Amino acid sequence: MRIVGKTSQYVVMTLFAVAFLAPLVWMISASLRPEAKVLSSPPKFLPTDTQWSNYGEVFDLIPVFLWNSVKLAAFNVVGILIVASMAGYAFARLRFAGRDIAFMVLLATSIIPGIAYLIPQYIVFQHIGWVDTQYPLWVPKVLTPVFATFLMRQSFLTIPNELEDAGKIDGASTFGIYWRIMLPQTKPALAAIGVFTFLESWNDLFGPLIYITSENLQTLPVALAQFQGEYFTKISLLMAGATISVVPVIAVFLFAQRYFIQGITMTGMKG
Amino acid sequence: MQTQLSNLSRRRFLAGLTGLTAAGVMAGCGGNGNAGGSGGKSLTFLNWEQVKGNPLEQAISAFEKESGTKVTIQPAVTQEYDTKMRTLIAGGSPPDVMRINDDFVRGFSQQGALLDLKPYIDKDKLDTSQFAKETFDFPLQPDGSHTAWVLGYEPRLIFYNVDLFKQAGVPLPPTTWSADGWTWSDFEDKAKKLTDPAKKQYGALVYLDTGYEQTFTVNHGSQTGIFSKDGTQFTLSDSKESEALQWATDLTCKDKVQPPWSALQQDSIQNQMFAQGKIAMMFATFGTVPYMRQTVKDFTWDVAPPPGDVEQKTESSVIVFCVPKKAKNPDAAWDLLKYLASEDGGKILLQGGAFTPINLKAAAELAPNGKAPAHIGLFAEAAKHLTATNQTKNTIGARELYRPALDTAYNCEKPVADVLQGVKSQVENALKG
Repeated sequence: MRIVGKTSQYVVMTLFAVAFLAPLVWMISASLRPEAKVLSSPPKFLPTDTQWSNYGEVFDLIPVFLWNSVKLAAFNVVGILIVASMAGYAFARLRFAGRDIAFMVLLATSIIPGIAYLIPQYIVFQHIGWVDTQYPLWVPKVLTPVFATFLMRQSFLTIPNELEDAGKIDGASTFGIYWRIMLPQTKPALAAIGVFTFLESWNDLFGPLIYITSENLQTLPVALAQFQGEYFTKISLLMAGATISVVPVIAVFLFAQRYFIQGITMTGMKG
Repeated sequence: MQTQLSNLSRRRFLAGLTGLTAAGVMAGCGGNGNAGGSGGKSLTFLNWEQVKGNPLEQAISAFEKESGTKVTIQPAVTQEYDTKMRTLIAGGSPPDVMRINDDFVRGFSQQGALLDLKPYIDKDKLDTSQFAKETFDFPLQPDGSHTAWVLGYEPRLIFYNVDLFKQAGVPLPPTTWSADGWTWSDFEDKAKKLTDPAKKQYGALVYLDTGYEQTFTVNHGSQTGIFSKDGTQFTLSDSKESEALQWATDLTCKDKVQPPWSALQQDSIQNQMFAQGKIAMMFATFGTVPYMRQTVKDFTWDVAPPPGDVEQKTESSVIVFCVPKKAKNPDAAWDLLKYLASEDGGKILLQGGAFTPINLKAAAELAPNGKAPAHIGLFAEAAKHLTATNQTKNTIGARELYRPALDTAYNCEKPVADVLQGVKSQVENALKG
């Protein structure tokens, strides 16, 4: 009876795994097919006439875009981890007047949809000379990481006060306690925020499209979107580009996987 | 408590933070600023498709050589282009020349966002008889202003698979603009003979976009097509118009000679199906030609006029550019637009095989040059058979209401007339702008 239960559990999990992997496998398969044979009914997962030249065409186009995406993802991840961890620590552990109100206000800012302030923001950036630079793609995000701050606050709240007290008795400064004692306890939350931030920056099509007007500053999602025209899409090239673009995402996730899962399951246990 | 991080002192941390900030500054310093301010004549240009490697790039280079004006092409993509365009115009420093969705021309003109080119046309005493009249007049506004510039047009024709016709022993469609043996019922008969359910091969594909709605309703006797002449009424819901759409829908629901609507929801699927030999006749735009030329390798394909009914006309998308009112270099922008619509500019643009240049002399040179389709000249001939598309204040808003509603009809659940009558008042409300 136990074997039957275990087997059916594996069968169900295998089915889920196949269902989740199917789009990825199809994407790789489509990237290796001739354009005329990409879409077929029923979908085919194994290419018969392998076209490695699709990758050649894409590689000719994307190096600059790839570098810009890597650079921006790095700035966003590092910047947000620093700012959100400091802000989260302050909201969780430091006592100051209006702390809880300030935190509520911070959360409230995330309710306003980005599209509502797009044009005023664009005008501001234009006045300060930021249009056609990469500043709008990372500075505002780094300085206002609402979700990351919330996650870090929740994570700091789960750490026992005794650790902090011990640091104080040993004469550690506030920053020393944050940096040496508290921050290392929040690795799972940091990993989760790192992965989320990386994904958001990596997949951002809208920001570069609006704020960047020079090709040498553009990012990978914009390069991929160029395979899509008004009347037709070069699907095989688009899929080759998408396959290349997904490799760093998988690498980052695998690297941070252990902490990432802990991060999203542990935070929020204490409010 | 020892951790790897604990080896880092506060001073080193702050030094690192300073380094990060400096590197960030370096990253942002990659900005190129706006072209167009320094030195000789220059202008900025924005299209929604890649210009690099296309005839448009060659035509712009030729203009640069001839005029000594530097043109900076800004990258953009089709996705979110409308948002970008609105933001740039609202932001107050748009590019000097920008592509504009033809559905937006009326609305933006009424908001005063576009420069009136009429004074330029008059000042240069431009001979407008050199242009295809229907399309040249497209940007004419009720107040007489000419607020955009059409470079060319993409008429819709029937693309057909010659090999499938021969295999089925079906006579080919006409090679001239004629309805002789090419009426709606002839089309339907051919579609039936070209359909092979065993091979999942369909005889026809007509109902796809708004171009079909305009073409087939006008050809069925409608005076206006989708919208009334003044742009305030939703005439697609009238009886003639609904009949036309029902005829196209019945190709699926009754005759089973057209792919089901549910099978057409993937981006570009119709092009793929045609390229795979799964569709024998497809109503599609000139813009599809480059894709077919690149993709179709194992059969012969050609184009024919749309089948005739009361009329035999076709709808054409227009390639429209505008000079925003706040453009920094309007004179240079006008010079570029004028060049691109000239005979020389048109001949360069013609090489792309994606649209018919507005210049009639350039368009007359449209020839297959050894490439499919053999009767590509029909795209130039289409200039004499175009339907007039009526502009409204809010075409996009109207489409967002009635097109999803039509899914019910296309999925064979309700008659077209019922669906369109059901949304008529909402659509007409949206047309008020």
